[in-house]
Amino acid sequence: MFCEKAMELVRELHRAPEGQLPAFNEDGLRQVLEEMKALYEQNQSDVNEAKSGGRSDLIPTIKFRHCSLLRNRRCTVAYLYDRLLRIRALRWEYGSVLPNALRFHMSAEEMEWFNRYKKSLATYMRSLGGDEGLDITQDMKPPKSLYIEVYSSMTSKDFANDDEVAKVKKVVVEMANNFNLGVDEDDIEGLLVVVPEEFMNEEMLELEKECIPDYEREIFIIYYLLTGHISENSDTHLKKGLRPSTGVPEKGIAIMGDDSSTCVIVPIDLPVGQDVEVEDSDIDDPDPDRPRLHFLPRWKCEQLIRQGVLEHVLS
Amino acid sequence: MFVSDFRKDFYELVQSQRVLLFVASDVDALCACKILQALFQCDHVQYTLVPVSGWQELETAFLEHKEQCRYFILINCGANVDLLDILQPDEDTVFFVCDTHRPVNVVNVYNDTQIRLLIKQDDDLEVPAYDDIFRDEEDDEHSGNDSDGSEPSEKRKRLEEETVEETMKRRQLREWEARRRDILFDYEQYEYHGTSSAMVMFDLAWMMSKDLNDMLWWAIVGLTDQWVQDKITQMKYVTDVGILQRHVSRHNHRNEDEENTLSVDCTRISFEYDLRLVLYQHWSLHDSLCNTSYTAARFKLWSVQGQKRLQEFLADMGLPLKQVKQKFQSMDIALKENLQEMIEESANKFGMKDMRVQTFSIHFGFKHKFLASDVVFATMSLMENPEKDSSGTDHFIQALDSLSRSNLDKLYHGLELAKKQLQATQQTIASCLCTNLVISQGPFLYCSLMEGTPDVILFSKPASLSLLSRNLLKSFVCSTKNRRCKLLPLVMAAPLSMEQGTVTVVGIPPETDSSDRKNFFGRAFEKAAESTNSRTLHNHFDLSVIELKAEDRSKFLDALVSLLS
Repeated sequence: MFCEKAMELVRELHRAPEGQLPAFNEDGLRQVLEEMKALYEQNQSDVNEAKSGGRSDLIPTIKFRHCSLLRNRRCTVAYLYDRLLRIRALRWEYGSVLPNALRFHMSAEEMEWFNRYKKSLATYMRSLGGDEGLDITQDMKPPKSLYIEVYSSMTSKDFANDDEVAKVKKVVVEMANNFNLGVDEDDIEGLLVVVPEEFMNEEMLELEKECIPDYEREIFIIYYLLTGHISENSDTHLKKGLRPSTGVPEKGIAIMGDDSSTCVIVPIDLPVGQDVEVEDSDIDDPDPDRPRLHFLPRWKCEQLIRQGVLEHVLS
Repeated sequence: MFVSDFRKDFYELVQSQRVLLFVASDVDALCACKILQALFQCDHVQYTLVPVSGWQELETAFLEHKEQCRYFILINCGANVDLLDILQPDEDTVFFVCDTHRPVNVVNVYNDTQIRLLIKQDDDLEVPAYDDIFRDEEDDEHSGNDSDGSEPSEKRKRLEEETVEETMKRRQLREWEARRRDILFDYEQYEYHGTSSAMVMFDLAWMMSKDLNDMLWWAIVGLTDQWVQDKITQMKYVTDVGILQRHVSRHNHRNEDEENTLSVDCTRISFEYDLRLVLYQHWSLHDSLCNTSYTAARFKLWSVQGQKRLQEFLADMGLPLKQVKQKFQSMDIALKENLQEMIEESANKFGMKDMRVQTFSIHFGFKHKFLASDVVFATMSLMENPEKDSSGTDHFIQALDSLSRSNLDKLYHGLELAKKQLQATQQTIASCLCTNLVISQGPFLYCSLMEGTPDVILFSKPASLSLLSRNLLKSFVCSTKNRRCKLLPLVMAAPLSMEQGTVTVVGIPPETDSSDRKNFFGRAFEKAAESTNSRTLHNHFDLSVIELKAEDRSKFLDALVSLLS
């Protein structure tokens, strides 16, 4: 019977549970389109015959074929549209990079649609939340509580006790104070956000181009870190120095900032090999078996929880 | 200085700040900490919790954190020493100290700015008056060289007069100083304990009308911990139980009303006049009778005679051995019905008059019923568990978690550990008494655990060792016929670390019926260590527990003997 194949397509999609994307049924779609073509051609010839030959008894057949065509169209459009909706949901669930298995299930056009959707979403997200954009695909459920309990295994000085990081902080304070921004190490600690490992060179440079060298109350300082100063095994995942481009100072850039609105590119000259004096107290490292329990606002801890510096207590 | 209005002068100050909590490692401190945590979480006060087990940890942690916070809250640590001297804080740091250790150091009492004591002033403190101890710095010495151009004879006369005045002043000063030394000596000679910190915190919560049944239960556990560890007198315990009972009836009165009872799942606390057999509802009656120090000492269960007496006792009540050795929950219901009264009667016949004690119990759900002392033993065993946990979580945090109602599996785990601990304690006591390890040194009794003793690792932490020592003393007092020895205190030593060759030494006051629980060993240990230059570490908040190098043991003991006789 007509429209069977189209119904198959729809049924196939209906059977797949919510959120899953079955493989794109090229064959089925092709068959439906062929059927539609055949029906259309038959209708064409019958219409011609009815008009010219005056055979009005063909009209019901024509009408019938027309209805089949409409039905086929409706089913295919429903099939394609539902798939698009599922693909859109995939972006929210999996992020920008889909697993390979799912990619093979999509047709080329669907892939293109997905990429355009991604771009559109990214542009929108960047337009929110000030200069740096807001990733709205994270944290889609509201938190249960404003304040949470966390464990920290690294203790001293607000979760950054790496020697290198301490040195970095020192240098940043110097830099900032050179511009009369009046910060000291405590402020820097609160602002220090660790650069994730996947941070690519190109993205860094792009960010620089976007930043406005404006000196406002909050500081958004970027500098690359010296290869020599940051060890690969640093817990803070600070990447080795990246190849600088023109206009970018050769030495250290680290990203720091919180709800800031400006960013400053400051050329600094971190001396290679020269030890920046770190005001390290003579305390031994605290017993690693003794974690500290903290009760802090959620927004302060989220980033650090994601990096594994803190551990959320689920009680 | 003492804080008079806890809410205004303490809670509202810290409410807007980030605070640091230093919590000592005992059950009372844990309970106080839980109550305070609950209040802070309710009011969104940011805090950091640092468990400390001794002075060194306290100092280290303080140095780490002193730039971050201005307000520090110390629970069950820090009242009995000069805090400002030890920690050297900045000018604007404020310490709130809620501690049961007495006597409170005079510097802490009279410092008006940086040290605020969360202690009720009528808590039988007997602090000496300010003028008796502190003296404003006047220029005591007149400069005797006013004018140059005066006649020599006049000068001589003036010098003589001034010399006389100076001598008078100096003599007064010396007298004053001698009196001051006496007063301070009397004041600081004995260590004892005041009201439980958990109860103080609960009081604060009650003043702010934020008290809950859960917090009341923690206050009860804190008080029971003090009683289990013999830190307070019987009178004080009974008084405090009375105070808590009023709160209990206020929170739990709905249970009595037949129509409006709460559902079974809700927490219910009730006052009980229950047997003092440890963990008896989670164990078998026989095991509990053997491992409660009270009964074990009175029956003298380390001897064959004692075992027979136990059997007589059970036969007297008509309890078949098979039933008694079964888990309590599976015992025959007919036998369980009047169990408490039966046991009390029979115990009276056997010379045990205090078989029942006033305490509280908590119920929730059909299965879960705990007496306060059960929870105390479970938490104590969790905290002093010598094994390294596989997941690496701190024992302190585990013990803290076990106090919440949602972590019942940890509580049951603690109960199992407590059973092992109690059994090990009784076995060690039995072996000590049978092999006559407790020897009289003159002014005190001395016992030392050898390296190879089974389960000796369970006694390396101070609370477990103190419990063992106290029970040992009680059993010894019941076992010995020597009149004089019954009134002697006990010094107990147990190996702490093989590599460093150290032992933990604990001093226990003598066992009398109406003991006021005052312990003089803190000062005695200090003086003995000084005089012999022994390598000691007075690290624990209880000054009567010290660590000592094993080689210095004999000279330390000799010094102690001469000091105390």
